[in-house]
Amino acid sequence: MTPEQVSETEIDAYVDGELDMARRLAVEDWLARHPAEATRVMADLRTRTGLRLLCEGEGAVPPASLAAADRLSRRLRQANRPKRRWATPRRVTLAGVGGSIAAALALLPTPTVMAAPPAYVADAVQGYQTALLRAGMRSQATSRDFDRSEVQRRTNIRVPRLPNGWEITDVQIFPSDEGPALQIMIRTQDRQDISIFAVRADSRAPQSPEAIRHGSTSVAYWRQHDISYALIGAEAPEALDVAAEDFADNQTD
Amino acid sequence: MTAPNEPLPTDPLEVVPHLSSLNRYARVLTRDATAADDLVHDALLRAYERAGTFQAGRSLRAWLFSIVHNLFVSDQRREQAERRRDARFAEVRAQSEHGQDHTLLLRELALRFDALPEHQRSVVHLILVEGLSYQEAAAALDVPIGTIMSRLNRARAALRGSGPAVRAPLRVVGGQDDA
Repeated sequence: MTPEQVSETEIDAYVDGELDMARRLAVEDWLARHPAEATRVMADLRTRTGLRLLCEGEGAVPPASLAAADRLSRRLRQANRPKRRWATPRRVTLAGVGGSIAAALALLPTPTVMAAPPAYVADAVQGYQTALLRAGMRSQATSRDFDRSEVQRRTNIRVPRLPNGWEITDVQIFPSDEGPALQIMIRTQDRQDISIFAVRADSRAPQSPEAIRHGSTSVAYWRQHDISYALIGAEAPEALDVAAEDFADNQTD
Repeated sequence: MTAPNEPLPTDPLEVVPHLSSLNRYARVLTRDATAADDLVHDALLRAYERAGTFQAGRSLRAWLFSIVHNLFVSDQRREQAERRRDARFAEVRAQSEHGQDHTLLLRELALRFDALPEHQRSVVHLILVEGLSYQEAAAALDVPIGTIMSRLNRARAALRGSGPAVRAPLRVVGGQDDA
């Protein structure tokens, strides 16, 4: 029986603890039969131990840095706080996506000025991500047919009028904590995919849109009477904020 | 991935436990204790400003290392460190009491390590000394994993050495950057 060939890269990865058990065994079997390579591995282990010894006693931290580190931890915790409230996923399939988005959203606002976004905003972002996934999946039929008055009758959500050139690509109604939520996916005139989310909820959302950003997603959210809206897209928050302002002005009554 | 609402064994946002590592790394980069303290302190302030860019669930230490590293390469600290490069720093490191038998071995190793180009020193220190995974090191240095592995491989060959290392100033040859 010839032992399985292993590469030098794999031996390195072995030394650095990057291999799973099966590959570890393959490498060890190889090394047990190749004394020259085994010697080299021992030399590499010696290097590692030596470098660690050289660093011993280093890393003393000045008090000013300790204080700065404490402040940083508090800041990071503050930025991550709303995560817990939002972490319980309602739609099981996208739990991971929703959780990370919720956590991400919490990081966005300047904490001194803006309150954390209302809870429905996390649903809105999750819905947007889901819709993007649906759009990329052939098995998921999207529904472009949209009957404004029917939706209004059934959900009691006033449906905003879209700016010219915006094309509806998908419409979904799904349950949320506050009742049925409406989500409309739109391709804008300059071919951006954005989403409008509306739910009948008297939230803490401000009257005029507030825009925040995380990673590749921006959200603008606002409230008109008892309906809360969110506009979500990949554009910069400023662009989305402007769109949201137009949109909020443009709403039907 | 951790289940939501499940308490973590240690607070993942606690920065203090990483300070010694950051300081050691800063020393490896700057080759000077005072410059290292300054670098870490400035990095903590920068991290505070950029706290919003840290994504929960990612490796906090990789994020912190990346800030230290970026700060180091983005201003004049790198040039200063290059000027500072001499055998003295390596000697000082190797002088502490590690038993007579191995002092020479450690001294040679310190000299070889000090002679590595900075991008190899970073990778070697983060993975061999601080124990970062390839993935974390790639995140900290913002290079692909393949680059991490090839730098590590070349650095290892240099550290293994074949001749005496005490030929200061020692320069590793063939160290073309692969980034």
